Amino acid sequence: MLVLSLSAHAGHLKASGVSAGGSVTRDLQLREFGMVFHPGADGYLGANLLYFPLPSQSQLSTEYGKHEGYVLRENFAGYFAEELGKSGWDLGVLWWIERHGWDSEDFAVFPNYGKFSLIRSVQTTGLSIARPDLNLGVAGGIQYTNPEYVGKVYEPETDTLYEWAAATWGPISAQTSFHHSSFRHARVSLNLESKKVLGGRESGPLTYLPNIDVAIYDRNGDGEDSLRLFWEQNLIAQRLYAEVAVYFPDPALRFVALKYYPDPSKVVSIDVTCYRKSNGDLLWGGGISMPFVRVAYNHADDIENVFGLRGTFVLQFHFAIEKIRDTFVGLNGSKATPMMTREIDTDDNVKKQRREQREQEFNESRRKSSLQESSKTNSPREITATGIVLEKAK
Amino acid sequence: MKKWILALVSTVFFMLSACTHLVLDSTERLQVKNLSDQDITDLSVVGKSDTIVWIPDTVAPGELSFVHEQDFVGSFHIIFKTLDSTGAWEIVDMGKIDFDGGSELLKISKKDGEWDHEFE
Repeated sequence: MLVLSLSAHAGHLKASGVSAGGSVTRDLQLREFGMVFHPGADGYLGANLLYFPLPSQSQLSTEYGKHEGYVLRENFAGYFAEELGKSGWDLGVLWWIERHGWDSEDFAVFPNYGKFSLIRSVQTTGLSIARPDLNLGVAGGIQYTNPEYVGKVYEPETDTLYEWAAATWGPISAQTSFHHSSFRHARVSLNLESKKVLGGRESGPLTYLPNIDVAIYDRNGDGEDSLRLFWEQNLIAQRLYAEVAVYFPDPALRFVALKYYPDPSKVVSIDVTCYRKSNGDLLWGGGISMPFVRVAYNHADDIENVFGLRGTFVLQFHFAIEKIRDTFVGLNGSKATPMMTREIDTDDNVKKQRREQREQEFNESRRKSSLQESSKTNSPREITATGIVLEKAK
Repeated sequence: MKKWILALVSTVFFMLSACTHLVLDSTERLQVKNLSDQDITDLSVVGKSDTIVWIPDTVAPGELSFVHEQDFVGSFHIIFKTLDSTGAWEIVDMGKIDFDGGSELLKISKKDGEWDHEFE
């Protein structure tokens, strides 16, 4: 009932918003990889399936009117890195893939490809090399946008290949992307916050330093750059964070968010967000993320990342976990997940040590039991049974 | 516990994704009935720069058009042409009309000089 009552005030999405979705996703994929890519990170797995169940909430406004239909966004991310022998160099591979779009029928795999549909997939792939001892890493690769179907109400699109490169050194990381010889975006991130999972502090003033992300885009290729400034600030003990995003040149505050993570691993979060439309109106929203499930309404992250779709209720399959050295952590988390103990050892020396210890214990126990057995066979055996009653037949 | 949540979510998702399009048609199969005393033709959806003719048939008074299927489910701006008393084609603006999808019969009538429409 709540959902139905909310749908009455629901907004919708515009064809231009769906058209812009490709560049938004490309940026999001590289931004996410930037969060994951730490020298010493062993891997990352992420999967999301955003589902907007109500067609009245995902109406598409075109020049003809308002079309009822469905939005789907599904993505998968994988990053795996391993040390190259004993060289001290880590080699990693990554693959981010997302398929999204608007269709007149709801779909999980096979869209209807209606006259006003747009279905597109965006992939980012590449290689990384890192020196964990020097806290240094370099990555690079390609991005590929593949529009499966573009209706006539959208700007025409073709398959496009982009190149990207990224580097990280301590708290500083930078990345850039190109299409042919034209610059598309550049980003500099300062992750000053001290994080236990990256070998930093567990508490104290250093954990209250900000994480700042500045990116310059040339989205239309017309030389008119736009700038996005994102500030993440730890407010209370790496459990309560504030996020602010500002866009230039129209100096417009885009959104502010308050995110409460019951655990600093950032696997579970409770968010309240406020998105500012270009005309100054404020849109309040929020959501709850748990392992595997996320539920949100009008969340600023969804408005920004899903075609500017607003006033919507989203039901999401959600999973994001990163492995850094011997610990697991949520995306951009600051401490290991509490469910992990120190039982899993990936270090070969520790593994060997444990194996030898186990073998020794096993041998000792076997020796003991064999000693007992031999002593038993030499002496006469005596069996005492209790609880057996013999009765004479009547 | 987590497997249980995963199973629940996937069940809910597949229920939703599999079932809703059985209830909600993604196309509109439209037929027009002319209840006025003038010929009607070229029922069209108006865009900002472009107009799509939905029902190109000329429907005589009291007649039915053929059924034409289009991807218009939602709210759209509809116009049509009619033959006025002088024998010239005149455009009639019907404003925004909601189409719910599936097969629908649109009855167009003229009462006291005002054009009116109704779904059956």
